[in-house]
Amino acid sequence: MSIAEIDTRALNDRVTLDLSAPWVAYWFALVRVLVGYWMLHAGLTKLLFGFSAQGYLEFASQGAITEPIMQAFSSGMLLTFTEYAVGWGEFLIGLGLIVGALVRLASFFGAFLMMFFYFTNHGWGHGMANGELWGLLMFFTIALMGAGRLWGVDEYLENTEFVKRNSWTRYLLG
Amino acid sequence: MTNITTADRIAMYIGGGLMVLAIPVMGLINVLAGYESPMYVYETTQGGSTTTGYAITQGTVPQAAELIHSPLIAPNIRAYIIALALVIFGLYAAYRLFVHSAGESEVSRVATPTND
Repeated sequence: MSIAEIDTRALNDRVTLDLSAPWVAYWFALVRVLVGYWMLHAGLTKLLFGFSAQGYLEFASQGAITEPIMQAFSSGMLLTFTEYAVGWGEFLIGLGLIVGALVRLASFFGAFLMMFFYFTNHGWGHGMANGELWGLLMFFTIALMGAGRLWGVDEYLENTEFVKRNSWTRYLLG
Repeated sequence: MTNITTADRIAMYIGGGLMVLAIPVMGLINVLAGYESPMYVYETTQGGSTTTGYAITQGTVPQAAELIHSPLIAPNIRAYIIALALVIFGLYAAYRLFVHSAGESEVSRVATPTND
């Protein structure tokens, strides 16, 4: 088994990580696909079977720290925008993760959406470390690891001249 | 990236520190002080059956319900701390994208053999 030894510093401590390189690459690609399907399913069902965010925005947010924002988006054009953005956003974020395209950009917006769900749903009856928090942290992890290169479109995109000449695009890809 | 910058330290210490404070630290304080749930727990009785519900603030407990448990640390206080941590991580991400990416040129490569 190939082991990659990485010497680095975390905060003030030096640490050596011994990673099974093939497993790290494989595992993050697998996690990327599964998290992507989770999000794609949420979006696809909204697009196919209809979805109204009004009740959720108006009532579910009561008492939550996101209530002012949610109430503002619970009617009119902002409500319409939200319904399109959430359905299509979840679908595209999920699709992006599954095919490994613009993985960091998709993960950022996935985390952005999960943040609102986490605070608005406030499903904390059994503790504040719940599934929505793990979803949020999974998006962070996928963005951190840039998991789009294995079985992903980002591997192709990163070899294009445009990306090679514009290093900032690495922060959108994986 | 093997050298960490001041921005990295701010994100790690403050962002991560706030997350740890709000979730496991305050969570353990709540539990060890005898408060099982971080939420306001209420019971409603209807037709002889009792159901348990969770509210995020005392004000959102239904009027007909009986409040049976209040957390030691209000969940919205913990929520604000987590939100602040996420904002710090988000600002760090924006910093890496718009400011730091222009100066990055060092890439360390660790090649591993592919035959086991």
